[in-house]
Parts: sequence; C-alpha cells; structure tokens
Amino acid sequence: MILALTIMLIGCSVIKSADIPKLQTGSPLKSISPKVFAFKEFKDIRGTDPHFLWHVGVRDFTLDQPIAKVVAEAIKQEFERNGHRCIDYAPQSKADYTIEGTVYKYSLLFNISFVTTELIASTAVKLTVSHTSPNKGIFSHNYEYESRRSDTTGGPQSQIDIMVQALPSLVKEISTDQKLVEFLQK
Amino acid sequence: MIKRRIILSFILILSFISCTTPPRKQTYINNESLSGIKKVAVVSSANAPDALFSISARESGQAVQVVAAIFPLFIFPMMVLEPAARHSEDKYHSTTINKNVDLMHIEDRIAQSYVRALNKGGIQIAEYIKDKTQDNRQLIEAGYDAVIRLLVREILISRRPGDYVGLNVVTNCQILRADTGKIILDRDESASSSELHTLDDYKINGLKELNTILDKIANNFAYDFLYLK
Repeated sequence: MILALTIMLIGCSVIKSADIPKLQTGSPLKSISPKVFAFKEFKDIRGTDPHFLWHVGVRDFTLDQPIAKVVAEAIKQEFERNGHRCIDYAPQSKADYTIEGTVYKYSLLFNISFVTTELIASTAVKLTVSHTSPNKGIFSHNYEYESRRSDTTGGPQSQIDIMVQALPSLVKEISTDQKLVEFLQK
Repeated sequence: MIKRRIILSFILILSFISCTTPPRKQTYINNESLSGIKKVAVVSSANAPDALFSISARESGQAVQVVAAIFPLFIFPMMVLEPAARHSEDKYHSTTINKNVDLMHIEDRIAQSYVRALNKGGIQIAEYIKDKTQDNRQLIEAGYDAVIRLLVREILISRRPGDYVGLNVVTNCQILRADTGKIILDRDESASSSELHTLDDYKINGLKELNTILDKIANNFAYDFLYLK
C-alpha cells in the first residue's frame, strides 16, 4: 500500500521542453520571401511560477524552462522552418520585424464526472509584430488554442500527452494565420 | 494478509493508470512524397455530430460522488446508471441537433474548400468526386495520381464554462499515391469554435460556425501540399 501511494506521489513531474514535438505541417509563412525577425523577451502574465504548468493532488507539473521562453523558442523554430531567420532583439540589430509576445494562458483544466475526466489544455499568447521601418504598421493578435480529451481517469500520462501537444498546436494557429501572412507580405 | 495487501496495492496502482486510447499515429508529407503528383481525386465523408453536454457536467458528478461516499454500496450501481443516464440525455440532444444538420453539405463543404485551396497553388487539377461508390482502384484507373480522402471524424458539441457549449471538429486526411500504392499522408487536424452558444441555440439555429471551422481545416490540410514541396 505504501509502495502504491509512493508511486502515486513521486515520479517525473518535470516535463522536458525537448520532448515537445515540432510541427511537420505546411505553413503559408513559406510563401513570404525570407525575412529577419528580432524577438524580444516574451512575458508571462499568468501570475504563477514561470515554470508552472498544472497541479494535481500534491504534485506540481512544471516545465524545465520558463514557459514564456519555450513558447518564444517554438515560434522562432516555426519561422525558421519556413525559411526565415530569427535573432534576439538588440537596439542595433538589423531585422525586418520585431516580435513581442505575452503568454497569458498555459494550463491544464479538469472537468470531472463520476467515471470520466475531461482534460482541457488551454494555451494563449498575445503576439505583436512591428515592421522596423516606421509607418509600416503593427500587427497584434491574441492566439489561443484549447484541446480536449476524455478518458476514465485522466491520469498523469494523459495529462502530459495533452499538454505536450498543446504548444505545437498553438504555434500552428500563428503559422497558419492568413491575416499575419498578409501583413508580412505588405 | 501480505498477499491481499499486494493485490490491493496493484489494484490501486492500476486504477491510477489512465485507461485511454493512445493517440493515433500520424504520417506527415515530405517534399519527396509529392513529386510527380499532378492530378488528384478528393473524396469526403462525415460522421454525425455528437453532444457531450450532460456527460461532461461537473456539478452533478460531484453530487454523485458525495452520495457514493455516504452510501458505499451504491458506488457500483451509480458507476453504471449515472453515466448511462447522461449518455441517454446527450443522445437526445444529438438527435435534436442533427435534425438541422445536413451531412452531405458538410462533406461538400470540406471537399470544395480543400479543392479550391489546392487549385490556387501547385496542384493543377484537383477534383471533388461526389460519387462515393468509387473505390481507390477505380479512381487510379481513371487516371488520378493520388486519391485524397477527407473524413470529418468528430463534430463534438461540448460544454464550456457556465451553460454554454462550443464546437470541436476533428478531421482526418489520407493521401494515397497511385504509382506506389503507399499512403503518404495520414493525419488529423482539429479546430474549435471561438464563439459560445447555448445548446438550445444550436438546436434551433444549427451549428453556426461549422462552415468556418471546416474551411480552416481544409486550408490547413492544403498547406501541406502547397508548402511542403
């Protein structure tokens, strides 16, 4: 009984950002001629520890790096996968666009009925893209992605699976946004 | 006594292992797998929407847990009866909503959006095949380089905060190459509505955002063809 309780309570509750899969789907970002994007440091306004993902019983599930940093990295990788270059922002950096981001949702919610648990992975980032030439405009949008999954217990592995898949899906919302593409094509 | 404890421990461990279907394996396209494809047949199908309103209600679930805690003998009957009652209620909701749902329209919409997106880009001839009796062999014999099957697998009306519901749609796309007989793409795409409605609203007015969701999914599938070459 003690062994069972111990197994329940311990175990890996730090998720590695390297385990988050990369997108392998097509994106209209590729239709834009190669650009350079300078990324400012993303903010996390969730009001929790920067690594915190969700809490179950006595366990906290966290990411091995700050969420805002991992989200920024994932967006950079998606731009680069589609032929663009991403650099860290510095006042003298030569880039076509500056990108700022604010993560305001990144959590796992539970909808529990008697024999089914619905897991709801909820992610959101506000992205602001500014052309470095003045008067060429700013594009800003709140990107949100929510995925749902039901199973009998909603145990740790199901929770990890749905949360690990949440970030690529959020990034896909950005990389398939026609309004963003139209702005970048101007 | 020790044997009983070991058995009880195993039961406790197993009860916390999630009983769930593992995620479906996805196969993604790469630029080599698309080479030489000039003419494609697009076939679509759809499953009827399902309401998951009652089965995902939290408040009643907690009440049942309280009853079961006070009267433990009721645990097992409740585990069977309660979900059955909710399932029956959701079946009623689904039947009512489906009176306003035209499956053929859903199939037409996803296929036509997809064909439109493909024909804008690299694929010279993408044709929507409405005749569902034609199998892959017949389509290949008719001269298509690939057969693309779109299946709107799930249209779920699930609970949102409060008494609102939203739409979640999961669609599968499978592409079969004629020359090799191999499946070069087999993946899912999902999208949800950003609007919230009541269940009654859907029953009276139909699934308002469904067309927008289907267009989005179709475009996302088309991007694989257009931008992974």
